[in-house]
Amino acid sequence: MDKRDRVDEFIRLFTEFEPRVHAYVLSLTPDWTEAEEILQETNAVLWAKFDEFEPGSSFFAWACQIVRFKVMEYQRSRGRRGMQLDPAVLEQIEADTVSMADELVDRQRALSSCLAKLPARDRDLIQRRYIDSATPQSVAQQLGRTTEAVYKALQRIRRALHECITRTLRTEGRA
Amino acid sequence: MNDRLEQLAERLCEQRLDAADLDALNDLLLDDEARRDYIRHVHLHAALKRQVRLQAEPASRMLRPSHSWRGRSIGWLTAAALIALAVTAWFVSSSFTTPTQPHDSQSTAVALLSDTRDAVFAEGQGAMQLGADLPPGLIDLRSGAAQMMFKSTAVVDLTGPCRLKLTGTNAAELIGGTLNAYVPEAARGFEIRCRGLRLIDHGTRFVVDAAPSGPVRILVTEGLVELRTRLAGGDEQSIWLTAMQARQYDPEAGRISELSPDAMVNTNNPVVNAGFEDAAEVATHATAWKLPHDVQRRSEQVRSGSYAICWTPSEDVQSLQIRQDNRMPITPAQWGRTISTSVWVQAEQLDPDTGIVVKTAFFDGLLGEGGKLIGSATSDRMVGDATGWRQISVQQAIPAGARNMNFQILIIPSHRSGEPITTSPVYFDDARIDMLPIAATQEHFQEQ
Repeated sequence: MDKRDRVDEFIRLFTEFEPRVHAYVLSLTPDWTEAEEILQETNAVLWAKFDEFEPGSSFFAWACQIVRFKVMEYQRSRGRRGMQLDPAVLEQIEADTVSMADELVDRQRALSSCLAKLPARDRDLIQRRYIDSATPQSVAQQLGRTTEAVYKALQRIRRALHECITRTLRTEGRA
Repeated sequence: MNDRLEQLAERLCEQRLDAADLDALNDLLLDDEARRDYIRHVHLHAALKRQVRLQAEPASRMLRPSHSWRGRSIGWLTAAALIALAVTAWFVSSSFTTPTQPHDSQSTAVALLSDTRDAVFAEGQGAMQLGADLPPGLIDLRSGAAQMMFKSTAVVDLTGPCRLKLTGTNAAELIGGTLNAYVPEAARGFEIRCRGLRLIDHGTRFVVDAAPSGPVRILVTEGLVELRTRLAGGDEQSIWLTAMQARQYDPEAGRISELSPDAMVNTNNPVVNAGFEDAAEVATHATAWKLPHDVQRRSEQVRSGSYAICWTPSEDVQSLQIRQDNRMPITPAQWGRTISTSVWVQAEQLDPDTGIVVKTAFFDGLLGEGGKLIGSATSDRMVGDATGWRQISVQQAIPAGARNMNFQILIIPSHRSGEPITTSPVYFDDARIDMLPIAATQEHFQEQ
């Protein structure tokens, strides 16, 4: 495979798997800022080491390994500050995430239609909460509600989305 | 998912987890099923973030300068290798270093052309292929959309007609037109100058709209932007804007004043070649539109710009359809939002039974590639004469499942056979689709 083909191959795999890698980073370190930094570093390593990736093997599994290494490196460099799951749990999450890859893709696909079924007010809240740099506090301020009320509403909406996604996959015979 | 795990996962998503919670979570995650539930929960959290981010991006955005190189626009896949090579080379060489000062040497590229959508540049603009290095100097975009990424990693989207002078690896001067900027952390300090106004960005997204005459309008959609201008007495005025704050700057008076953010929410009109200014070197043609042979670009009657399109009636043509298909993608996050579709019309001596309408139809895929019609809305008929320009419009909620919409202008003929629709030319100009603010969408829902 020449250099150009390798670049094409990398972009194809990267485009396909990046959302899942992003979710995986968050499952290990749910702080958005930290997760973004780790993801950027991981992406740089994925590209730099792409020659070592064995065609035909799982790109996602390979990326997960690099993510886990990066997360541990990141946490070591910062000391025990912030969220840190036990290494044994991290390892099991990695294995589960890889084995659940297809299901997670299905869930992501089902999310679009479930979002569309939300009442407009709930969709608005999701939009406000997940826009870059928003916090429950800033959303509460915008809407003139208490932060606790925003937390509760978000929990209710995420639960509803979970249920809708699971129902959708069941109907499609995928769950 | 059990209640305790859900509670901890929720606290984790909102970054409220304390040490005791973390210990409890570590214990719970030893259970196989709990761990899988946890992964599903965090995956949903990440997926929501991505959905909202996608919606927040301008339609032409395809390249984010940090981790996310996903393409959404037409032609990305064919250009992917080129862009990836250029971007990778840049990232490796610059390693997100501090941006250099404005006014670099002429020989050095300061930005990269990272995306185009039906872009037509002025003659003599030089090579403007995707991935091209851009040296300091003028970018004269006549129509369509173009995106460039500065070496600092700041990204700007231009909507034609727009003239932007690149002045450095982290700076530019907007001569006129609309500019959307995305400035990541690495490009803090990105500066846009426009008619005596300086916008200094501190890691954010913002829009600048500078019409050929009149005020310069600024909307910050995220983060923090500083506006600076020199007052008559020589003092410098400095104003800081945060998310969803807008201002307008009067260059003649040198004054910055309040502006409602709603006034700028609709700056991004997804209709391509909306003012029919672009002809792609075919004098009577209008790029991106399907026009019958008796509809041509003309300049004798215009509402804005230099051209409108004109339909010249003939005895054997009893109806008219002008369309733009497959140019306006819809994301799931936009389902349920209300849009307003409009066009300006000038028509005389219309047969009283004839009507002119504007229409938007929604499809679940690309038209002609299996996409099926899943909804549409048609405006009231405009009947009678329109001496001077009149606007016709219709509002419609985007149906769930829509992936693509189109724009149609129709003349619905008289039922009395043999009657001519009109004997005078009919002109159309300034087609628009506006995504209404969420508050207006909710009102629209409540009215239904």
